[in-house]
Amino acid sequence: MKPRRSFGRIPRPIGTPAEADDNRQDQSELSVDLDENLRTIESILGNASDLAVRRLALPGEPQSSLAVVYLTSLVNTENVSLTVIEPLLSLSDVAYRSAAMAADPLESLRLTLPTVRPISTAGSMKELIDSLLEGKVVMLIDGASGALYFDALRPPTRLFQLPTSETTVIGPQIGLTESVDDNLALIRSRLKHPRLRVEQVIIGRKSRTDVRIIYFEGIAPREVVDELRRRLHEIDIDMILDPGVIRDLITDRPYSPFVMERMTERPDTVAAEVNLGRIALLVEGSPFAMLLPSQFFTLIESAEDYYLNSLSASLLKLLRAFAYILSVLATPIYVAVVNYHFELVPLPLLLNIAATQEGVPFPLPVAAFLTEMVLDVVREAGIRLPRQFGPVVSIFGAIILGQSAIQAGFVPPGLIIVAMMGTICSFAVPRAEKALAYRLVRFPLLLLGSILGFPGITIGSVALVYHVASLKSLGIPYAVLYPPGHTARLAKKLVRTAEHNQPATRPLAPTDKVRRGKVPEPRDPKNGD
Amino acid sequence: MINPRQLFFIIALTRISALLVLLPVVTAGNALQDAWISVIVATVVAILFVWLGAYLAMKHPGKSLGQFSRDLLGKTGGAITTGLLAISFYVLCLIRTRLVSLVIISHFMPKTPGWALAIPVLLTAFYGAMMGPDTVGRASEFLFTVMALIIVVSMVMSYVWSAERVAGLKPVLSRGLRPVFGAAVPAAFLGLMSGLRVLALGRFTVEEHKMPKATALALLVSGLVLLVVTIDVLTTLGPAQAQAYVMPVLALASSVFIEGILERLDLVLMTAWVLGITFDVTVLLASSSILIGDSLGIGHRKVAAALFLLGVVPVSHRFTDIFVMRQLHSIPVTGIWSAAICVGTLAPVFIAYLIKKRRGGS
Repeated sequence: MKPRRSFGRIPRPIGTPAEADDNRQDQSELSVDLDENLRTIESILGNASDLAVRRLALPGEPQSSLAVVYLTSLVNTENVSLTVIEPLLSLSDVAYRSAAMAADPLESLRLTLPTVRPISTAGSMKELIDSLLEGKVVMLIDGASGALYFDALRPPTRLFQLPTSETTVIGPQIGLTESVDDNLALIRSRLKHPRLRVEQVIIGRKSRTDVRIIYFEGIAPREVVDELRRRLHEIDIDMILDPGVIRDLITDRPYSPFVMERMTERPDTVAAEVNLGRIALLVEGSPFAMLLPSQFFTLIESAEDYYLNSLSASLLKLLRAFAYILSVLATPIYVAVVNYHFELVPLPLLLNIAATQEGVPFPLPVAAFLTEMVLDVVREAGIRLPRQFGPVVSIFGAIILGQSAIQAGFVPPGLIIVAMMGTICSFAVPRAEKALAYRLVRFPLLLLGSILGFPGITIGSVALVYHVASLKSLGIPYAVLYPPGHTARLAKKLVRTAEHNQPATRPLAPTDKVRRGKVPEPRDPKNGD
Repeated sequence: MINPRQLFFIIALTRISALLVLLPVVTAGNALQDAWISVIVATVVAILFVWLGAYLAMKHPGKSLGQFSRDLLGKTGGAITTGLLAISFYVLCLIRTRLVSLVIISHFMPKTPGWALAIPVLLTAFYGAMMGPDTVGRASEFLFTVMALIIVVSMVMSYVWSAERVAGLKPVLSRGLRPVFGAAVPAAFLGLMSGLRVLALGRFTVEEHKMPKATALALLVSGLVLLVVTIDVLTTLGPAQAQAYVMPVLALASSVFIEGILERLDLVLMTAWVLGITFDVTVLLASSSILIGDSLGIGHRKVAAALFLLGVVPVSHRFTDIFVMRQLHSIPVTGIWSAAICVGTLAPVFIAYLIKKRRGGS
């Protein structure tokens, strides 16, 4: 069996000073001396300007003290006072004395403190530092070789906003944010079921990014969940800023132009897909959730499909499929027809095309390549520019540049029409990141169409089908047209059937047959039949 | 792994692709207006022999012919029986690669050199074979659907079914049975070579008990499609013209002219055919590499790479006479070839299996 490649494992020089420091920090236990612990923390964090240490003297004899430590940049100081300092001060002398005399003073204090926040115990300096960097408040007690930390505070985040990359006319208008807890709340509020599982994985040596795995136990295939968990645990990298980085590290085929993981910023989409047996990944700091394993036909699915009636949704899905095919094949077919198979075109149209070809300095394939590239550049510029300028650049780029190019005789107008049509069609595909990546394949097809005409495009398309058919997302085939045991599923991929006619089983969990319960029978309220 | 439905798609698609262009000419050339009966006879004969192959594959789950023939006949016997079929697949793979380039050059792109078309086809087939049988299985789902749609649309556009035209097929069997059976030989051979791929792909097929049914059904469905195509050609062009054209289906399609919309339907049909034949070449290359690899104990990807490199020269050589290809599908050539496969591969393995079964072997 071929050994698996290591996911994102970055070779590191062993024995560098930084590495040695990290190792020492990993090994070191907390001291019983509070001052020494504080000095170590300050030393490790390099006397960070946002490191706050609040010392409190404990009442009773013998006199001792504790320190509350946190990073002001990550926590709200008012909340520290409310959730940590005030509960501490509210404890009676008796409580402190009994805590101090207990065999495990830390555990005794943990159980005594009147706060609703969960309190955890840190035994090593590494754990303590990690907690601080995650925005927690650490409490150290003189004489105790451990620390308590409160999962009390969190960094400020923006308000919920519209999902800008997946706008819909109807349906919920709320998007995920950069806070993983807020996002989790949005998902939980849609799936109030005890079998919804949320697991935490911390990834990134330096970023220590909070990543959550969300799935439905019993619906998501266990082996797929295990495989994802394994791959995530094997990631060894400095920094994770977005699920996109994780995607590159865990994907089965990183060099395929086809994106096999679905990104969404809609909590309703996450809930719906998790209910179908997929797994969602939330990453702290990113407003996108990654859904996997993904499948080819999600390319033409939009969140709106869930909310429209089945006929409208089906029509839209078919339109999107048509738009996608056109966005990839329009220009290659145009070049092949004009270059090789002009007999396909009715004579009057052919004469028009031939007339516009006159005086164009470039051969048609070269003009087609240049046009497609310029259109992609215009689109990229439109996306990257500030919102005030983006549409202006797109309009000027598309209209004025196109018009001028035709008037100057650089490119034939037929080509501009076809290339523009392809570009517009690509915007009809709901998955922006997938549509863009998939449109990459039109360049090799354009090349084959230019050299070998229709047969070239056909041969290229077959190779493309092989490539898509060979892809797997977490071991699940990416493109299966007729899953075993579901003859009618092809039709249901292309159209959305009415809710009462949805397949009872989930695509990834064929044994789970409780996707829909009983559907109410329509009755006339007047006569009751 | 592939499932029985995918096996059905693979066999049906490869048989339709292989016969779509060749069948009417090879059958009409001998049986004239009775060519459609030859198609029925060929389908029945092919189903009988292929069922034997599928039965053997079913009885040896997880093994290809290369593996179970060694168990039944010993190392040398197994190698000979497997080698015969594997080489047949490989030779057909090269012939079809060459054929596709010749048809395109002769009908559509006369200035394009043959190698420019043959090598991309072989390269695509090599890529598919390297990706493995499960990829080929999943790809067959897409390609079969696309090809079926194109063929149905082409047939509907080229022919309006009517009782008068079907009546043009008479007189039935006016020249006796001999020409009908003769014309059935090439068609049966091509069906046999499509269906016997189960002996290679069976190793990767789940639910092995469904293999014979899936294989027979694939031959039956493809037989029906080819029957319609043959009747279409015979009633539209007539038997005399059908045998005169090198590719009568394309001649038929090129006669269709839809005012203001489409001037050449043959191009659309040719696109479907290129799609199917590229897949056919892929399955042939994959099947031969699986059989050779299993027989010699080598990974089939390595064998596929070697076969690809070996095939580049034969498919690229200067080839001017398309009628040589026609000779390769004549009754004597296909008859001897079919007999060799049946006598050299199917019969000894099946007999050995029966003997072993009688002796109480597993």
